[in-house]
Amino acid sequence: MNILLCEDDQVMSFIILTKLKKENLGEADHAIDGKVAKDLLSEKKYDIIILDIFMPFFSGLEIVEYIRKDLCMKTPIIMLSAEGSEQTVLEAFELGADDFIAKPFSPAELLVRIKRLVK
Amino acid sequence: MWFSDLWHQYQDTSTSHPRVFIHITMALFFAFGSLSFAASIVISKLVKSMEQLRFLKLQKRFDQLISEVILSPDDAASGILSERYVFLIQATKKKYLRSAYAQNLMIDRMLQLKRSIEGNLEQRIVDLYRILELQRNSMKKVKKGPRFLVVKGMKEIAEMQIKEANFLLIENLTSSNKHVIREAQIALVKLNPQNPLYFLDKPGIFLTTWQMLRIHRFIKKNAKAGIPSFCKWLDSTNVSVLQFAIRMIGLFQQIEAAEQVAVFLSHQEAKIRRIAAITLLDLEAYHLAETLQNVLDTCPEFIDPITLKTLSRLSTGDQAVKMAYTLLDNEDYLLRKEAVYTLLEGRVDSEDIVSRVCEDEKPGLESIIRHLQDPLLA
Repeated sequence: MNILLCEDDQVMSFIILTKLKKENLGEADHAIDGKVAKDLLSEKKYDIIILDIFMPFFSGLEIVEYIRKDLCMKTPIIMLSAEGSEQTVLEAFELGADDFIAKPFSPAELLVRIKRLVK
Repeated sequence: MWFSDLWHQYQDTSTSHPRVFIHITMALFFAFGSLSFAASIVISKLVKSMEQLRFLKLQKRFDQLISEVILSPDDAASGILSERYVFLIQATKKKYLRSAYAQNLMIDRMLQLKRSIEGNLEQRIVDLYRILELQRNSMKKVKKGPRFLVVKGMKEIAEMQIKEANFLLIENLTSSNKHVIREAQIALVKLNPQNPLYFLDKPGIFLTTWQMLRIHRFIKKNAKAGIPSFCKWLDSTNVSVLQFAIRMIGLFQQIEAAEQVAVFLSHQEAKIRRIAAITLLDLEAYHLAETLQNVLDTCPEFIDPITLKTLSRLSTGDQAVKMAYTLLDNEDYLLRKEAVYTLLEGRVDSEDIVSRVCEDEKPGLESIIRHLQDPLLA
């Protein structure tokens, strides 16, 4: 399984990537900002995408829009955000996100959600 | 001085100094000046980039350590880290965590991560913080640092649950700086989830509205630790504490305290009376409408928009409507407005009554009615 993690916080990314590796969920690429995420998405196909809302250059919401409208991909998307406001959550779902996890969250919970979406 | 002498000699044509010499000297002077300036810029840039490199190197090292330790397989029963990780932590501590700069960087990284994750890993961050003895750094900030560092240290203590630093927070409750006091209050609330408000009994406590909201938010978030019964502060002589306790009774729906709150409807402080009225409204204490009516009948000066609104919502009879009639020509615009609201809401034919009153006696009320009937304000 190919996973794309778009998260600008290095420690957080490292923890999520290590967890994914430990669970043998497949190969994971890491995009540190919205620009890198767009480049990776146009180069490679992923089975699941984990997106942080607040990232440099392009926000997570803009990336969801890019995936759904420009690339016309139906890849499952999980949004991560420190801001769990109703408006942001609704916007993410309207744009085409499949799941939303508000920070703080447990990485174990994220893994369960990934498995559920990929099934 | 040397340069000004030279300049005067240059201007003085009678001097024996040849002009060429002066030109060369001045050129050398400017060249030296420019070179020193350029060199200082290059050096400062080099220092900055070296600092940046050091920062990135340390950050990378710390991120790696934090990730490795918090994701390490431990003995689930004892929560004890294996020897390898203890060695790794001690080595990092000796090599990298000697300076306060490095310690602060490590604390910042830990706090940032702690805000993003929860569960076992969150606890591991706190454990790592303790193993690295970073609580010493946080406590030192609170003890000796300038005010902004005192505030930072208190936030760290609260976030990392350093119970032994409780006394430092209590000391800061009487600080001369109001920001330090506020942060000490919040830190105490966070550090003592079982008894978050024990500092309210200390003399001279003052809580701003914003502070009350912050405390309310924290107690609500940690509701599983238990919500204190706010009745115990109703006999406080501190108006600020009283105000807070009454408001919290309403927000946490402590209905059993409604009668005790009703006593404050006749309090000497107007803000306490208003908060008591709002709280009774929040608690939907219909059975206390008569108490409020009696207070307002005995002390008509206590009537204000909030008490009138509370009475109109809580009373089932027409006491509020009757009172509203008498207030239609009150000099306070907000009270007049609330009176019209009460009339409009109180009776089926109230709109006609108000219109008639407007035409016959009080033409000034037309504008209030227009304002109230504006669909945008509905």
